[in-house]
Order: sequence, then C-alpha cells, then structure tokens
Amino acid sequence: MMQRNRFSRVLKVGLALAGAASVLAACGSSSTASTSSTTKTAAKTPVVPLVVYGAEGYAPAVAKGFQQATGIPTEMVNHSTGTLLAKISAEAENPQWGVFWSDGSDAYAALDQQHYLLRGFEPTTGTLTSLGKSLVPADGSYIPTGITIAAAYVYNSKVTKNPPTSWSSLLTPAWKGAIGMNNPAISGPTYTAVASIMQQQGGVTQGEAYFKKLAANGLHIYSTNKVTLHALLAGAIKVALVQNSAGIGFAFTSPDLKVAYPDKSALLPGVIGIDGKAPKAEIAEAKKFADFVYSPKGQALMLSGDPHGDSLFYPIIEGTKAHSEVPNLKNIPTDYPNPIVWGSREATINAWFTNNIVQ
Amino acid sequence: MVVALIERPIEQPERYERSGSVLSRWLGRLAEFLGWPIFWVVLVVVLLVPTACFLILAVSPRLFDQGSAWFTVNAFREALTGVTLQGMADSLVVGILAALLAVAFAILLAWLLQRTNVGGRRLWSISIWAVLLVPSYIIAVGWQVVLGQGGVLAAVGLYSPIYTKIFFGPVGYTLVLAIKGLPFAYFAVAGSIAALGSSFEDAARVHGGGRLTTLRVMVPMILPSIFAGLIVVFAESIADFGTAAVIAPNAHFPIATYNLYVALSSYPANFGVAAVIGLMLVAAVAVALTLQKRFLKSRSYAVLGGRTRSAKQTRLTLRGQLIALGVLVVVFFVALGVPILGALVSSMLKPFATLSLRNMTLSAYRGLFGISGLGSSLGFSFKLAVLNGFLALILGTVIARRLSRRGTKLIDKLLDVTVLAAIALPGLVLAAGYIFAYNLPILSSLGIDIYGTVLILIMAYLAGALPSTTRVLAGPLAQVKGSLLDAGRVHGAGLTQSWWRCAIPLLGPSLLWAWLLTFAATFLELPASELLAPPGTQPVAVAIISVLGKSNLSQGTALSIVALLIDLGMIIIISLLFRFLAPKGWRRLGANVL
Repeated sequence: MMQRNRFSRVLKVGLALAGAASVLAACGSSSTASTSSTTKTAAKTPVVPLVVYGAEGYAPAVAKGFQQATGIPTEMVNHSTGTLLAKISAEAENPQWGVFWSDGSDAYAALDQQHYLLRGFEPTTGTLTSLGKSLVPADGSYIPTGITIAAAYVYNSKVTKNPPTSWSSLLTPAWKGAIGMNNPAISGPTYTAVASIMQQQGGVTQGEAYFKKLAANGLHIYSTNKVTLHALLAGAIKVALVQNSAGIGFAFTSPDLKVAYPDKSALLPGVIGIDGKAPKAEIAEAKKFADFVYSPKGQALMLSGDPHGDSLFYPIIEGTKAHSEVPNLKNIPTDYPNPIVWGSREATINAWFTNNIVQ
Repeated sequence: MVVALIERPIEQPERYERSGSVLSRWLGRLAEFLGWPIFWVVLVVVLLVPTACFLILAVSPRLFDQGSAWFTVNAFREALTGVTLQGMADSLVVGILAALLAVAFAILLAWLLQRTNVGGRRLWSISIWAVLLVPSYIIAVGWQVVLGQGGVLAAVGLYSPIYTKIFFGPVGYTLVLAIKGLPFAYFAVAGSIAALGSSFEDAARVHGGGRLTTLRVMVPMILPSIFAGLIVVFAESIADFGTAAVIAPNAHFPIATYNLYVALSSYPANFGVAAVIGLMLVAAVAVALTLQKRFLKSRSYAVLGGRTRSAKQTRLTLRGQLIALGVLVVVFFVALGVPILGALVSSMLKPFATLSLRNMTLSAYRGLFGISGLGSSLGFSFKLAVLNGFLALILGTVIARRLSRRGTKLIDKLLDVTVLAAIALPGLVLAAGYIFAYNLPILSSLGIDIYGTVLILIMAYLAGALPSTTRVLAGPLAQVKGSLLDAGRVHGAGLTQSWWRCAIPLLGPSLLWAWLLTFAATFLELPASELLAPPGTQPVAVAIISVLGKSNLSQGTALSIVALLIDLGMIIIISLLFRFLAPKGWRRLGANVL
C-alpha cells in the first residue's frame, strides 16, 4: 500500500524507457520492413539487392545506370579504398558485399589468396585490348576495367620550369624539402607506386635504402592524393607524387598544374572483384554488373561519371577512347609489379614505411 | 524522470500517498521489474559488446576470423615496440599537457563569463560552442594555412620556417588538442562555478581572507568538476584522430591514434595491433579515473542545496573590463579566429594565388548548390542527431548519477569501466567493433540482421556520445545534495516529482548542454558513419569527405563551413528557445552560460 505512489512513478520511468526502446525498435523495424519487402519480391523473381562497394568516382553513376538497364536494385557503398578494405576484412566470414571495385590489383591478389573472390569469370560484352589482357590474373579472380598511373609528378608550371625526370633525380639537392607523397598505408594506389619504385631499385632492400635517402632529402608525407595536392597548391611542396588522374583532374580548376612522368611509372588497374561467398542470386547479378561495365553503355558511364577525377583513365576495352586531356599511354614508360608477389608484401612494406619514413 | 530509479526508496508516511488505479499499479510493478534490466541490456548491447569484441580480438583473432590463433600475444609483442610504443608515450604526455592547459583556461573563462559583468557575454558563450563544433582537423589545417609558406603570415611578410617547425611537433599538437578540449573543460566547470553561489566566497572574505585565500576556498569546492574536465579532455585528446592525421605524418612525432589508423587502413588490416593500442588508451584513462576516485572519495563535494543562492556578479572596473576583454579576444582568436581564417582562405583563395582580396572567389560556395543528394544527407544526419541527443541524455543522466554516488557496488564499478572504456576508444575502433559484434554469422543464423541497418548506426552514435555526455553530467550531478531531494519528499513530493521540481531546475542548463553536445557531435560524426551507414544513405560527414575527395578542394572546405554553420545555428536557436520558454526556475542558475 505504501508503495503505490512509487509504482506510479516507476511506471512513468518504465514508460520513458520503453519509449526509448520502441524508438530504437521502430528504427530497426523500418529497416527490417524494407528487407522483408525485398525478400518478398525475391520470392516472386530471383532478384536480391546487389551491394557494390566502390571506391571509383564513377562507380555510383555506373551502378545507377546498371539498375536502370536491368531492374536489379543496386545499393552503392561509396568510400575510399582503405575504408572499404577495412570493412571487407572486418566482415570476414559474413561478407555483405557483392561487388568490390577500386584501383590497384595488389589488394585483390591478397583477397584471392584468402579465397574471398569468385574465380574464372570474364565478361563477354567487350573485347580487352592486348594491354588489358595482360592484366587479367591467371585464375580469373578479378576483372580489370581501366588503367591510371600510380605515381606521376604533379607540379606548378609557373614555379617549377624543369620538373624532375627520374626517381634518382629526386635525391639531388635541387629537390631538397620539395617533394610530397602519400603514405602507402593509407592511400591504396600509393602502395603500387612504392612497389614499383622498389622493384626498379632492384628489390625490397634497395628500395628501402632509396626511400631512406629520399626521407633524408626532406620528403613530406601526407595521407591521400587530395591532401598532397592541397599542399602543392598551398606552396608547401614543389612536386606531388600522386595518381595521374588526380593531377589531371585538379588541373581543370588550377590550369597551372602540369603532370610529368618519371623514367618508369607503375600501371594502376581499376579492378572489379566478385564476392565468392555471396548468395548464388547475387553472384549472378554481380556477373551481369561486370558485363554491364564492359558494355558500351557502361564504358560511357565510366568516362562521364567523375569527369574531373577517376573518369580520366585509360580504357582497356576495344573501341573506347580516353579523354583528350589524358596523354597517350604509348609515350609513358611503364612498369607493372606482379600483384601476386607484391600483394603479399603489402602489410610488411607499409608497416616499414610508416615506422621508418613517416615517423 | 529515469533518475528516480537510482535513488534508494525512502519510507513514506501514509498520509502522503495518492491513489492510483489497479492498472497503473500493475504497470508500475512491471516497469520496476523491467526498468534496470532494460537499462543494462541497452548498455551492454550498445557499448559493452562491441567494445569487448574489438579488444578480445587482440588476443584471439581466430574468434573473429582474423587469423589462425585462438590465443596469442603476438599483437602485444608487435604493438609494444618501436614507433607504436613511442606513439603511446607521446600521446600520454600531450594528453596530460592539453588537459591541464584546457582546464586552466576553462576556469578563467568560466569565472569571467559566469561571475563578472564582462562585455559581450553571449557572444563569447556562443564562441565556445563554435570551438566545440569545429573538427580538430580544421583547427590544425587552419593553423597550417596561417603559418605555412604562402599563408596568411607570409602575405604580410612575417613567414618563417621556424613557425612551421614548431607547429608540426609536440607544441602545435598540444595546442590544437587543448583548443579542442577547451569547450569540454568549460562545460564541466562552468555549471559548478555558476551555481556555487557567493555565500562561500563571502564567508571567506568575512573571515579576512584575501583574494588568494578565497581562491583556496573556492577551488576545492569545484574539484569534482575540475577532475571531470581534466579526464574528459585527457581522454578526448589521446583518442583524437583529426589532429594526428594533419600533424603526425610531417612532424616525425609518433602518435597512438595515427599508428592505430595506419594499422586499420593497411591491407590486410592489422586489427590485432589496433586493438592493443585501443586497450592501452582505455588503460590510461582507467588509471586517471582511479586516481580521481581515490582523491574525491576523501570527502563530500555536495554543495548545491535548497539554500544555495545565485552568485552575485563582480562588477569589473574599466581597467578590469579592458583586461578581461583582452584575454577573451586572445583566447578566441587562437582557438577560433585562426582556424576560421584558415578555412575561409582555403575555401575562397584561387589556386597558387597570393593572399589578397582580388584573388578571393565565392565560386566554391555557389558550386555547393549543384551537389546532388546533399539535402538528403543533411536531413538524414539532422534526424539521427536529434534522436541521439535524447537517447544519450536519458542514459547519460542515469549513468552519471549512479557514478557520482559514493560507496560503489561491483556493478557500479563495471558500469564505470564500461563507460570509460568507450571514452578513450577512438571512433574507428568502436565502429570496427560494431562490425565484429553484429556481423557474426551466428547472429544471422538467429535471424538478427541488424548490421547494415539504420538501427546499428543509431546504436553506434549512442555509444560514441554516451561517454562524454556522462562525464559532462557527472560533475553537476555530484553536486546535487541528497538532502535537497529528501526535503522535497518531506514536503510530499514523490521521488520523481522531487527530482523534477528540486534537482532538474538546478541541472536544467547542464542537461541542455549535454543534449546540444550530443546533437552537434552526432551531426558531423565520421568514423561510425563511414563504416556503418546502411547502403544507399550518406551522412553529412561522409558527403563532405566525398566532395573533398573530388578535384575541388575549395568546395569541400566550403561545404564543411556550411555544415558547421547549420550546426551552430541549431545551437543558437535551441538556446534562445530555452531562454524564453523554459520555466523561470530552470533558467535562474547557470543560465548565463547559454
């Protein structure tokens, strides 16, 4: 009897908590509702949402075009390569993605070694150029979709009249404290550039010695392409070693920016991987997605989806032409470090780079 | 009010009872039966499980399919050497320095703004909110733009490489973290200073104490708040990533969060090392909290009661006004002026152009109208931020009250550890922990598929906000005297009612700050948004990052500025509403802070 009053108060409290819980539950149920509605459609036709993890700037445009063309509901998760790889690693045995599309084949080779990727599928909607064919892995575990250059020299042509021409020239006093690059542990494409430089120097040990000399000559390290280019625009450095598409893209808004190429620079393929552990229906859709990318419509969307960024790539499908701002690839000496060899070294080289060059 | 649950029931004389229907009595019993269990379930699900999953990963990668070993200490071996160990040590030192610096300035600001008639108080109060809202990377970038080659100082012929060298090192690092910590420290101490009343001060004066003696009397009274401030700033500093991202790579100054970020971003991600760094950050705050507890246990700090009168304002002389204004201008120029200047310059200056008005353009701002999907990003984040404000307020108040009680039980200690674990954990770790916890195949087989839904994002936002909300509320709640509530109940008010009518008015402003704090932090939250937002949605911070990633840097900066203005506008509107709509009693104490 004495507790009656207290009960009514506790009741209010309980209701408040229940209210909070029901808000949570409501949010949950709204998403559950949407899932169940898609499951219902799935019962009628074998259509499940295709989840695309894409780091390419044009990926959202291509995904939208794919949905319109096929009616397959396509959900885009658009982040940087690093974020997506962290998500994929953390999701491990219960992967939530159907298609993964980003730059750099090294990570795909490593994913394949861990049996994440569907093997042996090649799209048939377009014919690869001979260069494109050379990028296809022996087990068909990933699908090349285009090429950029992993590290080009981007500079302000008003300040820098004679840009560096080789990797060794960066070690001279002329470039002391003037060079900036990304940390390969954070910027995916930069790892390919580091691998290529190490290979050109004659191996990992010689490569490490080269980077130590470069650091001694006042190398600046930033996180990603845009930060390094920002440092260049602000005058903190004279030459930025970044992905060439980023440099050409920035030149649209900063016409004084020019791009030069070192004695040998790394080819960086844009790559699609299909989740080998996805449900059968989603794998089938993922294959259709890759087919769509190789089709003329898909190629057109790749070229138009991110006009001042990733769309400035070298196509590898017969009949597709690069934008006019992109210099002819034949005039650029290139290198392609074997992704199977260098992919497995990625973690150790990145850790070494962070411990010895960054800090 | 939920807080009522945590008070021990007081036997009431029969004559104060009111009647209630049988139904409400039964519902009441049900609520009592379910109340605490629901609270614990929410806490465990939202905070404990994801944090624990990530930390357990350090010793058992196999559990989460991240390696072959069921038990290993390799991650510890790897993390406790070289640069990683050095980074941890550096983080602790700059964390302590930043906390001391922030709290010292917070006390000065709180005294000036709460207890004197210094000019433009409302403007300065809003400025503190602005400092809170500006992300640490913008503060760091702003200083970099001002000090750097081709920057603001260079434009007036004052450039020297020495500045950049000092800035890209421990000094600049501590400075930025102290700036970032200033609002947390201020919110922790300002309420106590405002609510303290002048009777203690008067007593010291009456007994012949000079200014110094008065200070010696006053400072110990607000010790709980000072400690709360120190701990919050310390924890926020060692867990801060934005500053590390801008300063660490070029400073050759290893920092724990940068090492953690690198461990998570590399492929394959080194979750083990990241987990060990996370564990060490948690341990550092645990040690700090234990010291705080031991210190505060020695006596009671409950000074807010029914007889507390609001403090008299010190009337400053003309000279005093000038000095006070000078101090405020300098503090806010360093904390806010420079970063804003830097951000504006980078959003408006044409590339490679020297700094002059002719070279400024607003095209980046005009370009913002053309970004598709931005409206839905803003709406999405706004809704979740409002919701999360209320969720964090309810849970945070309950936890804070529970933590502020003396004579803790084992379960309270567990609660304490849970909350402190999350405060020192960088957002990235918490977000990754959510993936490990809620994407386990066993959950899917049980039909619990919450990973990839809005629900999981809300849970992660709540987990991210709870620790700091709790810590900010802990100080004010520790000051509420039990006798105040007893008095209310002697006069016939129930437990809820005595909280509502006696304590809440005293706490009103603190609760409002806590809500706004959560709102602001959630609106621009990045790590959880990036890792956990469901496919097809794009929270504001993710939208900003994606615009920044395009070739138009100035547009990205412009968007950050617009997002910050929206955040700040919301805070101004809400605090104005509070000023005009809240019951008078709520506004009486400490309302000047807003």
